[in-house]
Amino acid sequence: MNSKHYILNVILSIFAVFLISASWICTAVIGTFGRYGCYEKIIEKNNICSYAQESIEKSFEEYSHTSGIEKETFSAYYDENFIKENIDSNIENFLDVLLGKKENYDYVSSVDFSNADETIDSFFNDYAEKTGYVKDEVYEEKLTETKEKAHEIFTDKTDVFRFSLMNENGIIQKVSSKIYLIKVMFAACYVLAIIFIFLIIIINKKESLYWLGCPFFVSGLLLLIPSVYIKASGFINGFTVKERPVFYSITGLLDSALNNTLAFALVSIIFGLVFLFLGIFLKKTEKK
Amino acid sequence: MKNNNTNKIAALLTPLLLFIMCGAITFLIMIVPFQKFKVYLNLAFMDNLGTKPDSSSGLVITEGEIDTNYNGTVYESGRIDIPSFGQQYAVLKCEKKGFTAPVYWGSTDELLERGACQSSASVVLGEKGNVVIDAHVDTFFEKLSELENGDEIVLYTNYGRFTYIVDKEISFMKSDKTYILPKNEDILTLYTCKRQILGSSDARTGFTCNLKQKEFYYEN
Repeated sequence: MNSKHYILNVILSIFAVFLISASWICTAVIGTFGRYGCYEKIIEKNNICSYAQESIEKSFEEYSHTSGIEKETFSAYYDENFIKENIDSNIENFLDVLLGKKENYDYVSSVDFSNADETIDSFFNDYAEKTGYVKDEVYEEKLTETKEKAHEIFTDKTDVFRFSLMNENGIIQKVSSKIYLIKVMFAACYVLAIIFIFLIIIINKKESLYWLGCPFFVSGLLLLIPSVYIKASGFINGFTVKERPVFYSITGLLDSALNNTLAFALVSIIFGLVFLFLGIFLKKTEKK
Repeated sequence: MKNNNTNKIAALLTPLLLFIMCGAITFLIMIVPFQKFKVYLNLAFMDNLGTKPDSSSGLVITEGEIDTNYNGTVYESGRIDIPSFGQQYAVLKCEKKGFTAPVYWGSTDELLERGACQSSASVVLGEKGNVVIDAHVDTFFEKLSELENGDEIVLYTNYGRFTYIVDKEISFMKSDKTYILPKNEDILTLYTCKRQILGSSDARTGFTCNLKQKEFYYEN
């Protein structure tokens, strides 16, 4: 080992470790939170639409006890295709705002309830005809109230990732206003990681494989240990909200991010070990 | 030779040294942010058992076998067995109107699907005060509106039998707590929703009943 550049290599490696780790984390974050495909996969894998349908149906059943309106009147609201369409639209809405393509998050006002509302109109119309009730102000008020309640139940139960809550607390706006800066920081991580790797190669012509192996190996370990701990302890399953569609959506997303991080950690460790092994082995062969 | 050995040791120990140094730096950097976000993390992930949700959402519901044909000795005062939330601890019967309902301690949507629910803010049967029980109008309290002044309502538990006489019909809005607040008198308040399509879904209707008799199965 060339002791002339040992300290310099250690310092460069420390920087490289953090930059490589940061690059892997950025990739995991973008791959999980910034891609529509990831959300879609979670929805399908965890049966979220079915849970949301169950939850909506149950809410209308509970509503029927106090309103007198049978649950079946609202069947269009718990149609699985209608639910899936709007869960997907909600995710697209969120990502468009997050990535700066759109200014405001407006899932609630974007849902097209016209077909579903017809069933409520029809129910009230039939009821008024059957009982001879004159369609007065009370009738119109009750009709509007029922539709609003139905819309509220639907949008609440289909917002499985609780984007509305994030929007109300200003989180989406805060992140999207800084999205350019975040993108620059992500790019800077990658670029700086490459620069430091390049520097390590230039300084260590004969031992470059070994000195490349060290930061990759160590950054992999730094990511692996906490990821394995979180996975093994079941920390994510401690998520407080136990409403099924929300629980499985959020924990699915977090699990996905964790699995991505674990995968990158293992790749980094493998790269590191390969480079270390080649670095040591090739040097030995050279000496012989 | 000595140089060779030193190089080998350095080659093996360098990754370990790097790991320790980077680990220490990471730990130091993360102290402040971790302390800042610890509270939020604990709130968001406070279920230490890591239970997955199922349809009962964690509520433990206990069915009870309540004896409604007790023939043994009864006492004017006696032991009260405090129920746990979600426990079916009584059976309500009105022989004259032919309706009966299991009574659960605690009121949730889930319990209301199974029977009548007693508000856990009201007194347990046998204690002095207002016993408040509600149920859905389209299930267990379907016949509640048929009650008349003077009808007898009996509540059976495993520690006693409590008889009330219907006193007056009441109507109130959900936000009005007048009839469901604690009281000094021994009364029973039964209520349900006024299920009307063109009316308010917040309207409630029911009856208050005066205590006629307390019969405990076990002395204090």
